[in-house]
Amino acid sequence: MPMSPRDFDSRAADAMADEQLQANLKKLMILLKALHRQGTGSVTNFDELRQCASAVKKHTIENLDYYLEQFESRVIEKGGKVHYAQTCEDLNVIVIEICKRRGVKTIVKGKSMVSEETGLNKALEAAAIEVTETDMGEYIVQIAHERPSHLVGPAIHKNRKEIADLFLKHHDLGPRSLKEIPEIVAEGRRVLREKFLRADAGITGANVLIAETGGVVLVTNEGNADLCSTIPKMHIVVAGIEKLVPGLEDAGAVLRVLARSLTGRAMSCYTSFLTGPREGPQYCGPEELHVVLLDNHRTEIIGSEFRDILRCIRCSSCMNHCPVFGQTGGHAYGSVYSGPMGSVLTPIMEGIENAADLPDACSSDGRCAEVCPMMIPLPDLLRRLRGKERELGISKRYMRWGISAYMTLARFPRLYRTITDAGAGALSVLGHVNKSIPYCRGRTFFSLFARQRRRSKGAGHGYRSLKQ
Amino acid sequence: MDIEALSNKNRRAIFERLRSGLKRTDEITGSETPVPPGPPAHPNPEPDGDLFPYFREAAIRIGGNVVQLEGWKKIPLHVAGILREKCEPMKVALGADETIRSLPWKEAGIEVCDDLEIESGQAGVSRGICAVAETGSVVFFSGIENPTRITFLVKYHFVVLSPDEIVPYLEDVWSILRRRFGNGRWPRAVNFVNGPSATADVEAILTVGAHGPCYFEVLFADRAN
Repeated sequence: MPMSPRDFDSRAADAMADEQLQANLKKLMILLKALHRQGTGSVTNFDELRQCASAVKKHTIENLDYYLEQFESRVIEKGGKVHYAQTCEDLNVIVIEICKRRGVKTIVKGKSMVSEETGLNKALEAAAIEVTETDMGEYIVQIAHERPSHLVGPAIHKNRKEIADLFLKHHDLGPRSLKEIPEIVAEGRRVLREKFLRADAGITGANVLIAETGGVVLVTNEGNADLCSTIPKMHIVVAGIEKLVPGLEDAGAVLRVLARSLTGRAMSCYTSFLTGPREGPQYCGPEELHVVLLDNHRTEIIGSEFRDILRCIRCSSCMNHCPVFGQTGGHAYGSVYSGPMGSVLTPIMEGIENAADLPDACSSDGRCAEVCPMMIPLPDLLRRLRGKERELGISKRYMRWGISAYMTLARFPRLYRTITDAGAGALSVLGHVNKSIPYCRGRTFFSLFARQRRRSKGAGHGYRSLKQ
Repeated sequence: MDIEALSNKNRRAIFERLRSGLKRTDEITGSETPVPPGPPAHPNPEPDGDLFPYFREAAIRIGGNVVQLEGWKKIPLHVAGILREKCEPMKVALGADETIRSLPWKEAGIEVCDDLEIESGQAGVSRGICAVAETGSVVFFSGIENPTRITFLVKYHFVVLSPDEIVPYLEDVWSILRRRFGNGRWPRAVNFVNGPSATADVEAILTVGAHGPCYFEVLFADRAN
């Protein structure tokens, strides 16, 4: 399927009809929600921790020009190089040229959303450079020629049988059993270990960039990004400019909420702070370090009403708690970033006219903002985008008409109640006749609320007495 | 392709847009240096008194093993016992750290090799800088003494620490490094390790042993013995 954020509706319908995806997605969402509860509940002051983390990112973004310059000079001092890319094409051109200058033929790559954003793998392959994804899930979708379906579970749409068949087809390792998950993982480890040891260069993203030390922080559970940055002779980091924080303590504030929000643990298995290429007698680590910083509309977002989205640390909490994402999965969004944060970023990065469905894919239940470790007001940002759609006249006709009809009706409360009462009654009757229609109590919220108020008045307590 | 020219052009444009987006009239200099928000809050409940039980609980919860030995000299025998139990070759990769190299490996029947000779399925022993009670992490830094390759390439990873090397919080690690290396002169890599390597990428089921070690054990022993 070609990648485009258009046609969310039809792709969402396909996703909901895909039984395997639905079963796997449900399992992943239950697991990730449980891990989130476990992680945030393991401390008594998680709100305080997220306020600290959010304050750090807010401060950095407000002074990004200063911290970017500081980061750049520190990286250079340590012997690394910093490159700037305004567009996705610029980033790909720069990375390919860096590789060509060193005669790089093979690359191992850690998970990087920025490289997904720029389509780096495709560009590298077009330049005859072999690139292997090393995150287990990313590797599976790469050899299947598919796209990741979840930020942290890229291959969650596949079951073990499909993955085993894929490995049997792609790895020339003779007859063997791949029935059990540990056997599949062990084979992935064995095949990718060879790639790590032979690669000319490693490419990773960055979870955090530290201005004070010119440092790059990599967080993984598998240890793959660490191998990408340790074994090959060259390490290239590709990251968005918004990844910066001022110092080591500030990085700690961000890390304290990142793993707790995602893995339920205080820290992921591996958190590596890297500064510069190898020095002196250390015979471990890359001889060359390049950091390629991507703008791709981020500087425009800074000056706009959507600045808050730049605090996002890609933890996936918002999508793991989103009722829409929980039904459709990531493929339906047709973009690199999915779920609530993706529905904000994609229209800004790819043009609102190209992604007008995404801000509508929202039930406004506000759960995303409640769980966001960076306290990004996602429902507000989505509402602003929907307002923009309406201003530009690009929202769907049924949405425009529906909202206009609602606005008109809401001006006449008596008429509104009569019509909604009649609608609720009709739904209740239909629900009794046809069991596939969700059950409706036959009363509107208004009438239930009014009845309860009458009752509590009689009992001498309730909302009004509480208010007094 | 002149990527330096392209990067310089991009840099100018990015800073220009940034400064206009941030409504800057001029570059920040001198007294205008931004001051980051104060030190971050620590997670509650805070560890107090003996940090060992806090660390032990956090480390075990994430699949690591914590063992207390009477003295460093007992380490080779202990490692040999584990390798025998796992039916693995009696061989460990070590860095140049003399305190670890000088332990009685030969007497325990263990062959010692370099980090560049690591074979698949092999064990490695490193010396950590400290352990963090808050997170259950063990911290390493790169260098010839304890090469990063051992941390990520071996199948069984043993890390040696003294009981007094547990610190309460992440911030304490930076203080230790700053004291040791001075501000700015940092080792290339500082690695926080929390348990063995794992993945949940196949059917959302957590499986240990993705790319890094399948087994991770922290050995606390008194150096004097």
